[in-house]
Amino acid sequence: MKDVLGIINVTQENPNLQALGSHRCQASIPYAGRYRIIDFILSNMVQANIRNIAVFAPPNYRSLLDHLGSGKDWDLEYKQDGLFIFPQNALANNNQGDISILNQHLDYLEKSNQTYVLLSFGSLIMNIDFKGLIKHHIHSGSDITVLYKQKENDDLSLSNILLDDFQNISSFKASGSPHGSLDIFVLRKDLLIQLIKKHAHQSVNLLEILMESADKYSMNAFKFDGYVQKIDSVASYYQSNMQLLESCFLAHALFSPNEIYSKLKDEPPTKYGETSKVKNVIIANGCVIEGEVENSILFRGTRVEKGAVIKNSIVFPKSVIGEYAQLDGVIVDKELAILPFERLSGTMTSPKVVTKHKIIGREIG
Amino acid sequence: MTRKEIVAMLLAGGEGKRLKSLTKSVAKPAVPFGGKYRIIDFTLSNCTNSDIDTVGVLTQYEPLLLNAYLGVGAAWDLNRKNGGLHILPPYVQQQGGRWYKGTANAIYENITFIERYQPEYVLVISGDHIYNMDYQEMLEEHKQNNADVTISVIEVPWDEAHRFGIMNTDENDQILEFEEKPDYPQNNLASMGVYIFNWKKLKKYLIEDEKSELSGSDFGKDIIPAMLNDDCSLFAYQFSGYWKDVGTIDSLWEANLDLLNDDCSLDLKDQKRRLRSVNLNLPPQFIGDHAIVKDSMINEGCIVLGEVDHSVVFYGVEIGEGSLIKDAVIMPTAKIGKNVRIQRAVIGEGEIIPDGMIIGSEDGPIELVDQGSSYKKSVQLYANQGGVNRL
Repeated sequence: MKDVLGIINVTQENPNLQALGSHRCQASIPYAGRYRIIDFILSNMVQANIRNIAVFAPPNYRSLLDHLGSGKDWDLEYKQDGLFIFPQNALANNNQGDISILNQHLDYLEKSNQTYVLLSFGSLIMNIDFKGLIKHHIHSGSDITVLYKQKENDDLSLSNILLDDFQNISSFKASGSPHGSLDIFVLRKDLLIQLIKKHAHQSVNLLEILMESADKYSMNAFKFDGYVQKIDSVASYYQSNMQLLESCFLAHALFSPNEIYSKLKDEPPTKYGETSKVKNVIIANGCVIEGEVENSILFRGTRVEKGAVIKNSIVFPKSVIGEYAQLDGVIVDKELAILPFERLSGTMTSPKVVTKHKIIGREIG
Repeated sequence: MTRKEIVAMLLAGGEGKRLKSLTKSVAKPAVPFGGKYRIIDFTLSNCTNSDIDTVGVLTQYEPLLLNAYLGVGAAWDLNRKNGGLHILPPYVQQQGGRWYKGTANAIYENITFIERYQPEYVLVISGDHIYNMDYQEMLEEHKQNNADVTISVIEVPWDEAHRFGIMNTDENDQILEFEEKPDYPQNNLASMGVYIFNWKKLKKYLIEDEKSELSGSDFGKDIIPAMLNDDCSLFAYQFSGYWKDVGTIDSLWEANLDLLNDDCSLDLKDQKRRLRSVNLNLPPQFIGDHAIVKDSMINEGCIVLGEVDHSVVFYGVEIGEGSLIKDAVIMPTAKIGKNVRIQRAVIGEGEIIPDGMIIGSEDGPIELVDQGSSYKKSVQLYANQGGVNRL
């Protein structure tokens, strides 16, 4: 798959996720104990032997740059190709849509040697063998191939696609269709360049252009049967993390067939004290647990003091939960100190999010 | 080649026979330690944390895993354009090839490597000790004392002094005498096997030593005594902190469990002097609904469904329901079945322990279960001794 270029377009931020990312962009929201949302799509691309990957970053990109670095931890450090991060030009008007941003970096696309582009948008948590999708695209001979899944009940987060008997897409705006687009596309690079150039001076997003292309280009659909979660609200973020605790099976599905890479850190193993009590938890390295943790996810370097009780909660890296503090249904942001004896609680549908104060430059999210 | 003030030579060729089957297929410096690390991480991290960026690693015994682990030294930030980590195995010259005859000979054979950097000083260290030390502080003392050699020493209990190489010093820490494992120790300062030499001086002694057919080409037995004999200026540098030579299964077990002690002076979380290692990309650990975990260290990629008490569990280990792991060290990727009871034991890398096994006992000797001992064989062997029984 060296002939495929990967594009991760995360320029558009979802306002529903603002609470989890006031100081970080959504692609770098922590997930499953030691990952960031972008790790899943990025690792899937790497595992499909895609060696040239461009990340189009949102305005608040600092946390993403810090996380990805040179791309070394995703094995993307090459002399030729590798990982390219394109921040937005500060002078560009973000309201104009992302076509103008892509147009700014058209030279990168033109200079790259690859014939095909695998294009992804937004915050998908999935583990997929992209090689199958790409092979399907090449063999089908269609202009554009779209990845979709069979929708479960009334999933509003995905746009409905209308399919004929040959898996050809006739529309992206079919109401009541059981098929939902995952907004992952494969197309020839020259077609993508052509589309960008054509709309370069319009205030429009690439995703909209692709969704409206069904009548102009032949569009084929490719079904994905595995586990996939679109993170589009705090509740869906919280629930999909909690689901990982419900069954080992799900966690297994998330970490196979592909290894999911993330930034590597020199953290020691997690240390459990004499008074620790843990059950049904996912815990990353570098934690120190003296208190009680149940049905929860702790990220790297969390400290749980004696007597603290954490239930149904998610704690981002390097936070300290003070003595006898009680958390239930809470998402604790990075590097926070929860004071001793504090009591915080939220619910399954409306978890309480404790965020950092917006002190710019204090810390890299 | 830019000149370097100091070059480190790390001796990593030891077989570590007393570690039994743990070193059957790996060199001692590559033996896993502390839930995540390999023993050599400590000395390599010390170099990086002491601003020593040129390290020659002398390998000989079973180097495959060690070489693979070291790579280009990136894990310790030792992949440098100038200097960095170099693996130095024995090599062939026009006159023929040979193994390193001893520690001093290993350095002698690599004089050309050291000379490329024209260093003032050479640090000679051993890749099989656990400690966190700033070699720069030692170098400062070395310079202040105007010494030819400085040897790092640590105070050991008097009743254990006979097990170590003991330095007899005067009130200024100048070394008067060196006694290897003395029956009647006059002092309790033990050599840590960490030496700083003035390179010119060392080179002279290495060349002389090479000419002597009687010499065992060993630093402790040949080079240091020869220098003392010639009235060179040798000083002791007193180190206080955690230091351990994990030479035996018992000491390896003990050093691992030392880390659980809150008073342990070896801080794996030291932010200033970060302990570095090759970080594997593994999912977080999962602790199940009926698990009990206390007073333990557990690494990434583990699935714990049973009970873990006062134990160190390395990465990728699975512990089945109803099993009890107590006072034990479980090396990477071992799979422990259901209703297993392991006490006072070291379980080797990748071992599979079937359901219902009992290994070790509350007050028995430290059991080692490892591929080298071949699990099936060890079951039979230990079964006779009551060490391992089926429930």
